[in-house]
Amino acid sequence: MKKKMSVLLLAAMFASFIGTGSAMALEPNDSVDTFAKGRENFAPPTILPPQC
Amino acid sequence: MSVGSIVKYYRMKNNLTQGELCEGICSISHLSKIESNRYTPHEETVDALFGRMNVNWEKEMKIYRNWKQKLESFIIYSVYYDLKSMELLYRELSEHEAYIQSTDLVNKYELYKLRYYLFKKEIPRATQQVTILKKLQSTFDDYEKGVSKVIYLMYDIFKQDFEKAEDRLIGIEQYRERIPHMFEGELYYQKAYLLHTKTQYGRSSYYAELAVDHYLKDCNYIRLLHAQLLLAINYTNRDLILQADGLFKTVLRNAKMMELDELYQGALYNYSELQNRRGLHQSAYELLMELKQLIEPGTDYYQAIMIHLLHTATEAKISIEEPLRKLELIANRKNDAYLDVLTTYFRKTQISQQELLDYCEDIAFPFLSKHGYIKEARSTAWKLADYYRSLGDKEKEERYSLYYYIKGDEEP
Repeated sequence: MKKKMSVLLLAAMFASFIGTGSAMALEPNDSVDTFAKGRENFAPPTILPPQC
Repeated sequence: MSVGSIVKYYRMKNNLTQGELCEGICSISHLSKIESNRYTPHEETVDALFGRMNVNWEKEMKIYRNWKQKLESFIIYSVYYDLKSMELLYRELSEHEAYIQSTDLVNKYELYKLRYYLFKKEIPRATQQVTILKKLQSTFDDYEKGVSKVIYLMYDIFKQDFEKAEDRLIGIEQYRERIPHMFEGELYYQKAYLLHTKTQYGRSSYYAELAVDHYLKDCNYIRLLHAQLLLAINYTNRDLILQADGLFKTVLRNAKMMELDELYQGALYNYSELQNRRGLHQSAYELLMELKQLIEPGTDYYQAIMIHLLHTATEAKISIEEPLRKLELIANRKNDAYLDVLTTYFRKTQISQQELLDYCEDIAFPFLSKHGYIKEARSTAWKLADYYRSLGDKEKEERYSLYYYIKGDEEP
């Protein structure tokens, strides 16, 4: 009986974590509010790293 | 290695006909089969043939192994972006080109020669090399086929033939063609590069991230920095400020330590754009002033810095007189319509807001949108939409803000 209970409990715990993915992990917060102000003027030309 | 090709190489070098060489050893048709590598000859026959030409077979094998090893080093240098070593070795290889071309190393040699010309940005020679490779294509093995696809892709993007590059990519994906492991990172990087030029920053970031992962696992540190810089630029365009900031700092630190001057300058330039976007104009200005010291006046790079400085100084409310005057001089000398519009625009910012807006509406916006300066046209559209919103002119506001949003990150 005890064994059954613990299996049930484990199953319940497992079910509650489904879908949370790596939400528990520490991730950089990319939902910060940005305040881009560079739109006042033209955009300066782009300079990229070497392509080949 | 193919003995036949070596036999043929020395026969030609000694000015012998097939008949002269094989007399008393084997028949002409037999020799012809050996030379075209359709038949592997007996050791005795090979010894006899080489003996007639005074060639020592063991010594010959040593020479072959030496060049094979050199070619392998050449390939490794190109994959890991060691330009200096590549240049030195290329000189040596090209001096012995005739020998290499006579062996089975020819395909790899010609392929990486194209890679080398792309490094050196020599378009005419690269184009010529593509024609040479087309002739060799039927003799490529699986590895060479895989490598050639990535190098051709690089060539197409370099020539700005984006449609062809896209077709090539579709081909690679659709048929799940095998790409050698060493080249996977490069494939992702090229893909990210292509998507960036099409302003698809979200998708470009995805592939740049894959390239970063791959280069990191492969310990390909120089190319890793290139991919990280491309990724940081994509993050900047998507306003992912924190991620971009971290990456720029990494690239700046490592480029400085590794003495990669050009990369360091590129990172400074793009980092200042990020600082501008987040409103830290003073910091952006300082970064650009540091960069200005490193670049020689008169180059295109210098001109780009001046334009960037102009934007930044305007935002930071610092005098723009010096960069503006310098740019006006360049615009006059070059007779460049874009620079003309740009300098007039900034001259107007010094006069009055009304005059600037009129100029934007009548000249700057039509010019920029017509000639495909999407980024610039969008920012003028934003300005005009803002202006008409304050006036309550709904129709015009909608027209300009629509342009701004439609021309944005065009992604599903």
